[in-house]
Amino acid sequence: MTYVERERLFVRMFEQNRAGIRRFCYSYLNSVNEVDDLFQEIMTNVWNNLPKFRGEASLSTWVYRIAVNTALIHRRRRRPSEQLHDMPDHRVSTQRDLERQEQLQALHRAIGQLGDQDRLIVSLLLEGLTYKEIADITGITVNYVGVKISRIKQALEQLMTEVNHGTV
Amino acid sequence: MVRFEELQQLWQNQPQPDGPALAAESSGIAATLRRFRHRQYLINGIKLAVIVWLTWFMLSRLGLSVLTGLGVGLFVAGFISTVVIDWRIQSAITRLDFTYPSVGFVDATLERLRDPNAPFRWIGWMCIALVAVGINLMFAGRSATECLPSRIASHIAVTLLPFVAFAFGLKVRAKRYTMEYKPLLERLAAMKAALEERVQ
Repeated sequence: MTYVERERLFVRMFEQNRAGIRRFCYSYLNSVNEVDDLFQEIMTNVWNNLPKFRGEASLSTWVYRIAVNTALIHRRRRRPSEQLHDMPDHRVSTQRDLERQEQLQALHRAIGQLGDQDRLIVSLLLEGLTYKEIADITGITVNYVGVKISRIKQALEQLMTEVNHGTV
Repeated sequence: MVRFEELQQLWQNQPQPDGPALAAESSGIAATLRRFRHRQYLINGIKLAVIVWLTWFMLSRLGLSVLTGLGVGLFVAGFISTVVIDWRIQSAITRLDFTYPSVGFVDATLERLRDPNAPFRWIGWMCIALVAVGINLMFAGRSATECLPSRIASHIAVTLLPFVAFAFGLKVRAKRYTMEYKPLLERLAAMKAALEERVQ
């Protein structure tokens, strides 16, 4: 792979996955301050590993695999128990926007209560990845992914319901 | 009850936090790579300078003879081999293969970080033995005029010195790794246990 090809592939990957990877970073860390650190670390690893990309998996699945692995060894500045939940949004204007913003914060809070592995899996699922893609990324079987997701979905829906009713 | 599909939609349509633009991000990555490369150049440059200086120092002090020349050759070869092999292993440890699926990645990372000296141990000792032989040859020429007990003492000292220094270096590095990577190792071990839960 020449340098120009590598750069072209990187830019394509960046444009396609930037938003998703940033959301993934946020959901995993639950901290706005550290998102940039992890995001940059992921992008550095993607750049370094690009020559190994053979196209066996889709570019997006491949990038998420690197993102998940980078997140696993990322050094968090704060302890996992200290969490930040505020996603800055300066565009909140209407009542509907406000409700959505509150729901989103509740979702972030609910995700923050899950364990590391569940948080990673739910982040991928929320991004719309299929069970097969999640299995390819994590290296666990599709069946086990299904079992995990079923449990996580239940836990998340329950947590969200509790949050909406103000019990959490 | 909140439906998961609604959460998915909410999640994907959330406003993006202010992030760096593509140009800034790309330059950030380039800068990171540049810094990494420069640091490696600097470290290797310092090691090379030490080897050159030591060689010059020993040649100027001991004078050039066949025995001394052979000793210096072995010393330099052993020293350079140690530095190069160590550098390659360190580099391999820090360059984890992020393209593996997570289960394999966690296993490989745990293995590498648990004992960073493992791949270096045998080959490292062999290189140090080469260094020790080299020093002994250099001193053999120099100490020819000294009395026997003094010669034996100096040979024992110069033989032990590189081995002791190497063992100390390995210990320090193992300790530094344990301190630096302990939280990560614990987190990865927990993650591995969670991933292996599927087998039960």
